[in-house]
Parts: sequence; structure tokens; C-alpha cells
Amino acid sequence: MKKILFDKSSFLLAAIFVVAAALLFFLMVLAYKHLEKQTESVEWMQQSYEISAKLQHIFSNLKDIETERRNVILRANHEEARKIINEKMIEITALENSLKQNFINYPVQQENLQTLDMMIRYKYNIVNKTLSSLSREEDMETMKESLLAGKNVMASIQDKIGEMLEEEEILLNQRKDTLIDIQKSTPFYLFIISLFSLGMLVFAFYKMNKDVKTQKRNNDELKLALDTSQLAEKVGGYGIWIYDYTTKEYYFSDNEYRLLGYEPQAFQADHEKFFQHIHPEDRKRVDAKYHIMIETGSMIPFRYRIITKDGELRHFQMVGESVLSPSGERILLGITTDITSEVESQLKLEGTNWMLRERNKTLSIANETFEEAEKIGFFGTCQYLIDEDRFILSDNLFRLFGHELSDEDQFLKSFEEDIHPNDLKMVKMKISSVFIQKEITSFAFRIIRKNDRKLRYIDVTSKIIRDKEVGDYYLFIAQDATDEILDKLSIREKNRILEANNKELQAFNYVASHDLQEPLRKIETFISRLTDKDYDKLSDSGKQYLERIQLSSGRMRTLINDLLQFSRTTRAEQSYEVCDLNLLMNNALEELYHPIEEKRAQLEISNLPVLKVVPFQVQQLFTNLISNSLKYSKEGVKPYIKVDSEKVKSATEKLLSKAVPGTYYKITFSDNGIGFEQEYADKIFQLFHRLHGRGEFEGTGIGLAICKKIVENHKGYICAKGIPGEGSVFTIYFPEETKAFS
Amino acid sequence: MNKEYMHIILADDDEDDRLFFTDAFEELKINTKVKTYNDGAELMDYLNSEDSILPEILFLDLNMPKKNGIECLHEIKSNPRFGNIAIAIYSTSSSEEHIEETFVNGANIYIKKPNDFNTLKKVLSDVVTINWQYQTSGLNKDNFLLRM
Repeated sequence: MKKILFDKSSFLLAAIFVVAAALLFFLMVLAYKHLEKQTESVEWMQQSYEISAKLQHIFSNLKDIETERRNVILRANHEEARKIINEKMIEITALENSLKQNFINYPVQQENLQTLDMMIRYKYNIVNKTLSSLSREEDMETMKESLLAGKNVMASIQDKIGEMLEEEEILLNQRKDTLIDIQKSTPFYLFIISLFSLGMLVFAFYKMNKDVKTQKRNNDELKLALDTSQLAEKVGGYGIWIYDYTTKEYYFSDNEYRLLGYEPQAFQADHEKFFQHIHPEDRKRVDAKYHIMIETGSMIPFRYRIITKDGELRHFQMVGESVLSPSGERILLGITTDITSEVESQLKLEGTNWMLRERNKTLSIANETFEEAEKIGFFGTCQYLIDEDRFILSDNLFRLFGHELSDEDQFLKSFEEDIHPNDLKMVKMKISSVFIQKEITSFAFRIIRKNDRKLRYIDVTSKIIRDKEVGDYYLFIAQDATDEILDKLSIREKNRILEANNKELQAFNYVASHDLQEPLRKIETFISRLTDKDYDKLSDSGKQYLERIQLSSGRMRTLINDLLQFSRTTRAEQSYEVCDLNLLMNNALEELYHPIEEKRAQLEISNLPVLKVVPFQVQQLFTNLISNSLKYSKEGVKPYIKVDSEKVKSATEKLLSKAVPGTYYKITFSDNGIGFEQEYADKIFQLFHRLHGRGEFEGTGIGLAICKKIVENHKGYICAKGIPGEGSVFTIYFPEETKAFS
Repeated sequence: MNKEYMHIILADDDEDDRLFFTDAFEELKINTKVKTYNDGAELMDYLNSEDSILPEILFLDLNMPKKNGIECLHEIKSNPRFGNIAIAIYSTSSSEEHIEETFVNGANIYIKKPNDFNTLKKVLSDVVTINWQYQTSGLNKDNFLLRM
């Protein structure tokens, strides 16, 4: 398109120049012609003036001749006159000859000149006659005659010359007019033509300038296109090569060199040089393909390997096609592309595929594992795929409801029948709220299991899961929570009992703090009064009894106060002290002096550790445990109580399997008492729990509960083991780590 | 002291405690006139009667029938006529709740009944000889409970 435009423009320009040149040439010719004519006219005018001058001259000579003739007549000097007349005649003849020359192209004037010549000859004859007559002295009459004749001839000559001059003047005037014409028109034509030529040239210049600009822009665009193509080569990782069929020469683009690891134009583009870099295994194949390409002028892309200058292996793809170059020569245009990364990513993809297959295997294993986990964990899952409006149920879900592994539709239709009638409404509401409000919900309901008609608790948690692959879906996890819920219920029941017991204990505390203290205080005050006032009046045994009363009431006060303080242990700050447990044990034994004596009990106590404890609590613990053993001793058998202590690791103790790992001090209280059924081992630590009626054994049923509470306060554990009729063992574990309860 | 006697009243339903109380003052040999009342109602009847002699110190047991110590304390503190009576709480209990409540209601001192007669004597002696002016103006919870 551009090219055509450009050609058109150059054709126009050439035309303009041709026309302008022709015009200028025409101008020159015209100017020359005019000048020539002008010069000619001027010459003619000169000639005219010359002619008139000559004619005048002739006439003046003739006049001289006439004058001389008259002089001869008067002075009669013939010789001298004749001489002058002849001289004048020669002059006239010369003038006539020159006029003849002048009048070559003018026949009228020639004729006039001939007439004039004849007249002059006649005149001359007359003059000669006059002269000869004078010499012969002729008469006057003849003289007069000849004089008259001469006079007439002179007049006619004068007329003739006048005629000729007139003629010449007409001619001159004619020429003058022509000259004026030429002088007038020439500048006008010159001006017009010059102006036109100038206009043409200005237009041509403008046109040229415009063309130059267009060409510059085209050049810029071409340069940009070239740069772009080079950049594209670099970025796209391809290079261009050209094979010229006519010159058998190669050209490689800059990037073609770079692809091979060279600087651009590092060597003369050469087929051999390029081939050296092809992987030896591929050379033969590439060579064959290359020749086909040269011959047929086209080729489907083919791949081969290259070893670059730096020894790097790259994958190339070649494609070529023969085309006509802009200058009309047939060339083969080839593109070499570096497809290494493509090839590598393909290889990687294959690797990934393999890995995915492996992962799939793992997944299916995981799936099986999950199914097993479902069975063991008593849970089943149900997914509702929103997009597909489809349920996916896990096998174990069927099992949970006691269904055979039947089809899902059957299950979805009939599972509501299994739900406990009292819970059905709630379940429906919950499920619809899951779908409508899209809430994360968790609820529990009862079912009558289909296969064994047993009541089971099902705990359902639902959640909407956003998954990009399968779309959003609801996940329901149903778990058989029967055991947990039953446990929970029993714990709740226990808690209720505990709360009730706590209230009783609080009432007891009040009684202990007020009503029990009141009489005790009075007893003590009376004792003090008695001691102050009447001590001396008492007998020795009386004094001893008084002391015993005092001691007992003191012990009772301690007990009441400790009990009160103990009841506040849960809320009040507890003061832990590093304490020798042997000392606390001694205090306890001192406290139990009377029952021990009374029962004649035998005690064997091994060395106890030093621990950070709340002293009065641990003393209370010891007292309670020993008094417990004393209380439940067999009738008729001396109580035997053995206290042992050792340091143990939680890992090796069966009883500490659920405890905080670490080192513990284990203290055991063994007795040979009545023991108890092992199934009550836990119950005996419950508040106010008694295994025996009040008639059989005294007791409030708090002793062991308090023990348990004390041990737990110390982050320890207590348990009991009993064999009816043989005895019981109470084991306490105190953690060695004092930080645990600091 | 210009007065011949210091007037002291005890309101306590427990006969034994009244006995220990009067015995203690007898033994202390201080010029006091001790009156005892069996419950809060009796006490208030006496105090509200026109010819009553108002005591310098009133000992109040908390746990009494008819009108307990706290009620008496309220009534006394709300009557400007009794503004000069120093009130000592005299109780078996030493529970924080009771101590707190009586302190807030304007009692001057809290005495836990001792379990020893000699201690009782000392406590009463101390209470009677306290500079009550100081005690009433510099009230604070730390010295409210009289510790023996």
C-alpha cells in the first residue's frame, strides 16, 4: 500500500520535473528568439539610417558636381573642374554600390536605385557636354539649354532621392513598430512562464519534503519492527536463519547465535558450524530432515537436541519454509526454537502424574484406614453434595443404626423410623435448620437400634465444607455417644449428690463452728475455773482426770477448728510448708492415743519423707486413716497397722496409669481389719457414704471423703483395696514435684 | 474519773456466759455496775424506757432469741440518744461474715468469747480501760477484732 503510494508520488514528481524543464527550455528559446529579433530590428534601423545617409551623400556629391559645372562656366577652368567632377562621380559610384548591397532584399528600392543611377548617368552626360561645349566655345544658346537640362535632371534626382528616403522611412517605421511589440510582449511571457515554473518547483519541493518525512517515519517503523523482532526472538527463545538458494549463503539472527551459546554474529553463519552443535545421536535424523526441507521448501516442526558452546544440553525445535525475499529471490526461512523448559515441564508433569498415582494408592489406603477408624470409633459420616443433590453415606453409618449395608435411598427413607419418638421432632427441626440457616450445628438424639432394639444415643455434628473440586457440601458426623452420655448422666447424678452432700457438710460446719464450740468452750472455761479455784481440793486421781478432760477438750477444739479450716480449704489460701511427715504421723498417733491403747493396736511405721504439704491436713489424713483401721478392726483380733513408704515412678505403677507422669511418694496403710468388697472401693471415699449401719460402727461418713479431698488438694491420688474378712490397704501417692501444688 | 461507777450491760441468752461475765467483773475489782439481759428484746425494752441509765459499754451476743445482736445493733445505731454507747460484740463465732457485718453496722469492737476464765478477765479489763474516744474515732477493721 505504502509502496504504491510512494511510486505514485515519485511518478508525479518526475512528471512535474519534466514539465518544468520543458517550460524552462521553451522560455529560453522564446527569450533567445525575441532577443534575436530585437537585434535584427536594431540592425535594420541602423541600415535604414545608413541608407538615408548614403542617399544624402550622393545628392550632396551631385550638388557639388552641379556647382563645379557652374563654376566652369563662370571661370572657365575646365581641367580642375573635370578632375573634381570625376572624383565626385567615383564617390557616387562607390556609394551606389554599397546601397546596392543594402537593397539586396528590397526589390522596390533596387528599382529606385537603378532609376537613380540612370538619372545620375544622364546628369553626368549633361555635365560632360557642358564641359566639352565650353572648350569648343559654343554658343550661349546651347549652354543655356544644357544648363536648363542639368537643372531639370537635378530636380528629378532630388525627387527620386526623396522618394527613396520616404520609402526607407516607411520601412523604418514598420520595423520600429515590430521592435516595440517585441519589447512589450517579451517580459510578459517571461514573467508568466517563470511564475508557472516557480509554482511547479515549489510544489515539487513540498511534495519531496513530504515524501522524505513519510520515508523517515517508515524507516523508524522499520527499525522498531526490527528491534521488536529481535526482542521477541530473545524473549521467545527462538532464532531465525535464512538460506539463500541463489548465493548458497546462510544468515543467522543474533538470537540464533545466543541459542547456541555464542555472542551475536560470533562466526560466519554456516551450516556445518551449526550442525556441530547438534547432539551426535540426532545428527543423522536432522540432516535428513534438513535436506527434505531444502528440497521441498517446507517442513513440519521437528525436535532435536543441541549441545551448546558451554556443553549444556538443550532441546530445540526447527521449522522452515521457502519464501520469496522482498527483492524477489527464493530463500528458505527457518525458525529455531528453544523448547527445553517445555520439554522439562512435560517430563516433570509425567513425574507428577506418577506421584499422583502413588498418592491415590495412599489415599485409598487412608480411606480403608478411615473406615476401620469409623468402626472402632463408633462414628459414621454422611456427605450431602449440594451441587449434585446427592448423599454419600459411610458404611459405618448403617452399622450405627443397626441397618444392613443396604442402598442409600432405602436408608434415607427409613432412618427416621429408628429415631426415638420423643426426639423425632427435634431432629427434624435441627436438620432443617442446618439446611436453611447453614449453621454449624451439633445435636444428640436417641434411636432404637434396628437390629437389637437397643436404645442408643447418637451425637451429630454438621458442618458446611467449601470444596473447590466437588463443590460445597454438608458433612454430618454421627457418633454413637451412648457410653459417653450415660457416663455424663452418671457424673451429673454424682454431682447432684455431691452438691447435696456439700450442703450437708456446710450445715455440719455451721453446727461445728457454733453449736459444738459453745458447749466445748464452756467445758473448758469451767475446767479453768475448777483448776484455778478448787485444784488443791482435788485428790490425785481427780487431778489426773481433770487433766485428761482438759486434754480431750483441747483435742476436740483442734479437731473442730481443723475441720472448719478444712472446709474452707477449697476457697481459702492454703499454706504449704516443707514438713517432715514423721512429725505429723507422731501428732496423729498422739491424738489417737486412747483408741490405740483401748484396742491394744500394734503399729509398724516406716520412715516417711519430707514433703511440701499443708501440715494439719496431712496430719488429719494420717489420723483418719489410722482411726479408720482401728474402727474397722476385727472383733477379738488385735489390730495391726503397717505404714510403708517408697519412691516410685508413675510409669511403673498400675494405679498411676492415668496420672500426671513423674515421681511420686507412695505411702500405704495396711491393716488386718474387716476389709470390704472390692466393688465398694470407690464408694467408700464418697461423702457420708457408709458401708455399715450406725448400730455396728460409729461414724459420720466423712472421714475417708476428707482423706480423698486432702490427697487431691496435694495433687495426689488415693485408692483402697479390700478383701472382706482379711483387711484393707489404703494407698496414697504424693507427687515429689513440689511445684505441682505450689 | 468523776463517776463513781462505770455502767456496763451484757445481753446474752446463755446463763453460763452471763455468770462468767459477772464473775469476771467481780474479780477484776473495777468500780462497775454490770447489768445483764437474757435477750435482745429485754435489752431494748430497758434502753428505750425513760428512766434507763445508759451504759458506757454494751456487750452484745449475736445469737439470741427474740431479737438478735445484729437487730439490736441496728436499733441502737439508728437512735441518736444512744450515740455515746460503745458497743462490743461478744460472740462464740469468729466467722468473717459476722465480723464484717457488725463492723459495717457500727460496732466498736468484736470479742470472741474466750475458752479460759483468766483470758476472759483480761479481755474485759482491756475493753473497759480502752480509750474509747480513740477507739471510736480511729475505727478500722484491723483492730476491730480484739485478739487475745
